[in-house]
Amino acid sequence: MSRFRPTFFIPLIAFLGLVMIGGLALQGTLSGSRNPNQLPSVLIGKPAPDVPLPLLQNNQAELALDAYRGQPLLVNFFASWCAPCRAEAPALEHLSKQISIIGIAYKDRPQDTRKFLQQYGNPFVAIGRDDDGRAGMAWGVYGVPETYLIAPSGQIKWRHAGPLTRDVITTQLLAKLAEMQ
Amino acid sequence: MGLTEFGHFALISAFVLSLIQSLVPLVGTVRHNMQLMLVGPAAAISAAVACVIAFGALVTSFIRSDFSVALVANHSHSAKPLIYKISGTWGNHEGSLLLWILILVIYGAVLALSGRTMPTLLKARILAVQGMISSGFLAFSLFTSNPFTRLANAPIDGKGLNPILQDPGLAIHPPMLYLGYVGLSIAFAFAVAGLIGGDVDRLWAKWMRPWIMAAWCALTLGIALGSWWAYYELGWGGWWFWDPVENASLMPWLAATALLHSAIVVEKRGQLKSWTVLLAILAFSLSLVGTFIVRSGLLTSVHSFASDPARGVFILGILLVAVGIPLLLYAWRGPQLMRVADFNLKSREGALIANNMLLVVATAIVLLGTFYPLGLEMITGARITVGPPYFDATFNPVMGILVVIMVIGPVMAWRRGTTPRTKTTLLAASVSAIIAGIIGGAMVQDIAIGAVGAIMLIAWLAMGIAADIWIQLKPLQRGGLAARWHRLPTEVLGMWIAHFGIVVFLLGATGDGLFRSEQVVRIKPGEVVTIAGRDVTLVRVFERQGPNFQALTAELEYKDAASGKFIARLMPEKRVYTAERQTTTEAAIRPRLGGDDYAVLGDGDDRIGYSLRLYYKPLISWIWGGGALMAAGGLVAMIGRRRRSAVTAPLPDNVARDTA
Amino acid sequence: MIRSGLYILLIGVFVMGSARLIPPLISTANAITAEEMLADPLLENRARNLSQKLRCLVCQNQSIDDSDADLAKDLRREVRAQLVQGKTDEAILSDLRAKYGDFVLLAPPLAKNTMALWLAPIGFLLLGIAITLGVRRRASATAPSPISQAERAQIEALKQQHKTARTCDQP
Repeated sequence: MSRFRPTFFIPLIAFLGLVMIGGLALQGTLSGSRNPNQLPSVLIGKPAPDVPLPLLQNNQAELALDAYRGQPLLVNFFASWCAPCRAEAPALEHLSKQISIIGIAYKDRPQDTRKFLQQYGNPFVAIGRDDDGRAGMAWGVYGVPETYLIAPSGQIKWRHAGPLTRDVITTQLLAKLAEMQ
Repeated sequence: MGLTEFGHFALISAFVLSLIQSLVPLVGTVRHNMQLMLVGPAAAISAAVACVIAFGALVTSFIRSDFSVALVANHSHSAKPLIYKISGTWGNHEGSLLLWILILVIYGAVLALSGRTMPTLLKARILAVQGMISSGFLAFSLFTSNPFTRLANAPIDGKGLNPILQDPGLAIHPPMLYLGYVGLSIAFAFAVAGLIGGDVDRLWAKWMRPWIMAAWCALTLGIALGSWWAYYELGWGGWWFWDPVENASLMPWLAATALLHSAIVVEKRGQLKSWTVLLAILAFSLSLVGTFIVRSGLLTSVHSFASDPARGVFILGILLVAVGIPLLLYAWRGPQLMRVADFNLKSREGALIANNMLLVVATAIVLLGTFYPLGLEMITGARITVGPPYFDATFNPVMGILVVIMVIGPVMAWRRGTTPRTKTTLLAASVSAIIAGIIGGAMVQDIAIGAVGAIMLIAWLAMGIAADIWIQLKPLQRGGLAARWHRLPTEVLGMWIAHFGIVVFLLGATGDGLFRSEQVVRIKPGEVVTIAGRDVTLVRVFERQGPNFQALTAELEYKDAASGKFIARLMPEKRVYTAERQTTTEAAIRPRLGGDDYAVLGDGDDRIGYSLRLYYKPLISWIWGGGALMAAGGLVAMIGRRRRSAVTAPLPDNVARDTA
Repeated sequence: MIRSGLYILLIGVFVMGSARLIPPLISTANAITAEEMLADPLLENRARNLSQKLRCLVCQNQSIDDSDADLAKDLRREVRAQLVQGKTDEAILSDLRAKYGDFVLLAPPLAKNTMALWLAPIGFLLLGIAITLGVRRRASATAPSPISQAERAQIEALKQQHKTARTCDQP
């Protein structure tokens, strides 16, 4: 009674393929190498966008990233109304000793930004104001906080969306910094 | 011992009973031992009783706001209205899983109690397969998602429920959907049992059909409910988003619809057996894939429960075993079910094959669109979105072709050729379609060609059904209209109602899609806006206190623009739920057969005015009305069959069955 | 006659699918506020169509047209700003793609890595048709031929003889 028809195996094979995708994705999520809530930046490897922004301290002067060429640089988008930004403040404080950090106040009011910096510390060498979010859009910012690592050449090397935790710093940021040396 | 512990114990008992249900009857079938086989129904019924106790215990904890139970503490709140405390039981992963299991074992118990004409051997195998599925899910619940865990220190009050879930529509939507998803497990069990025993025949199909029907009706209603809920709750008037979890419910529905139709061919003609078996396996497999999507945390969606990838691994394991083994069985035993096709392609069978082919292609498209982003991310790391524009371009045309076939199929003869009805029906339908197309094109300015196509399809289907009804009810020499009506099988009536439901659905979708009106304004109290022949006055905006929220409410007065007559008062609002600190927008809707008035309040104040979005959506409720009609048609067909088959006496086990 | 009617309908159906390529008749502005809308109705219509093609990045599967999120509002404003500058639809979509990636488009672009996605549906359909016709080939060996005129006359005669209202049609 044995009729053997290879076509009857197609559903099984297709199903196993689907399971494999699901399994790989699960494994990635469990190991942390993929996070469905994190969007990878498409600007990695491209030069940092040059959108003119007024400084927080002085409306008339502009934030110039060129001034910081020749050294690795962190650009951190933050806001006073952003809760995780408060959580990452100590981490930024710590990092500021190793690397220059530029802050960009994203859709914030200057007086609120200043109050935030007073309360949580100011790790930034310079602070720009992106009041309407257009500069953020040029960087591909979709929420705060977001942190970009810029190489001495001016290229974006790494982007992290969400607060910088010790884990992220030690496993990703420091590794990228080491590469640049 | 507290109620919770008792419930936990009941759940463990259910697990043990399910294991017994999986193994003992199967041993009985191998050894031809009637006693062992009869353990199947007994175990199924006992397991169901145990699950009812377990579920009852959980619901009681929610009603009593027993915050020592971790689940209640995390998902409920003493200030919640009673009905939402109850529905909160399944508003979370663990509770909804328990509901899933409850429905699964109840289906098994009903099968155990009914089906008196079924041979004990077949029934034993079916219940064994059912038992395996319930064992798997009970294990999943007990080992990874136990709803009965206690907290060492009970909090004073719970963390509340997502305010969006505090809603009557959403209370009913999961149970209805599960009735559908889980009901397909019976058809699945029939298929696997048939593969094991090789006894897939016309009687097998006859016994299976009511179960497919019941599951399909429930699934239709569940999806319609979900869509309707999204429309009135989410505040932007959409009703389908091609969200991964929505797709997860659509895929089993498409497969179940195909199964419904192919089972007809098996029952009437003994053909398409191996194909029907495959479909039955696939339909429930898609339900399981849906479960995987929702609970594994792989795809982000508005529907996902707080997801845990570790649980995803367990479900993947269940999926692998529950689907992989039957598909392997199918690859091995399926070919033996094949029969030489004794029909012409140009026949009823041919049309039903076309129906199946199109539905399966549609299912494949939805599956591809849903999983492609994940697959691509695995291979290249790139992230893309597959959203509504993709599905509109690929899925809709396939469904359109299906609508064309829907008129042709019922008027074809079995085995070969056309019937006298065919020519007349197709002629009437074609003429209507062309006329409708011309009228549509002339009446609406700048109409898109695709919209004309949609109108033509609706006319084609509507006239096709009407012509079929008219010809069959035409009075003949013998007997009048009433006699003819009574002689028609109820299943035919069911088919007409269900197919007509699709006409109604298409009218709703097209009516709203093509003829919608909107006004987006910022106005101050006292100002008037005109939309769709109505003058809308913003009377005032005020604050009000609800049972567990604070709201900003707008009072809108609708008057007829021509006569000034008062039409209605609509009160859209924005709510802030205190416990969860969440804001929701409550759209004000005035649903009428002709169309809905839909108003949404945005932000603002008396000084700069309030942002208001007003819509008039013609015929939009026909979308869900159509869905309800489809389910009603299925119900009619199901009842009709039961009346007919009540006449059949039970078949003794040793009588050879028709194995055609 | 019937066949031609069917062909006309099938053409209509296929064209219905291509309607997606043409801007919809009435598009919805679902989360937009009055002050966001542009004065020029043609530009505004283009803006809404574009908005319905762009995904709100912080929402689940919503377009920026439908979403109330702040980022959606910003993106809507950006789209309109670029339209007023005179950019084409493709240029605006490209620009946002360059900043946010393909993820921001609700319909995946036709590229090497999405070729399978776009071609597969047609492939499925053709495969389905081929398999269905394959049934015919298997069936033709034993299938009965269509009812001939003579046979039909015989059937009518028999029906008259027995004067029964039942036809051979089963549901």
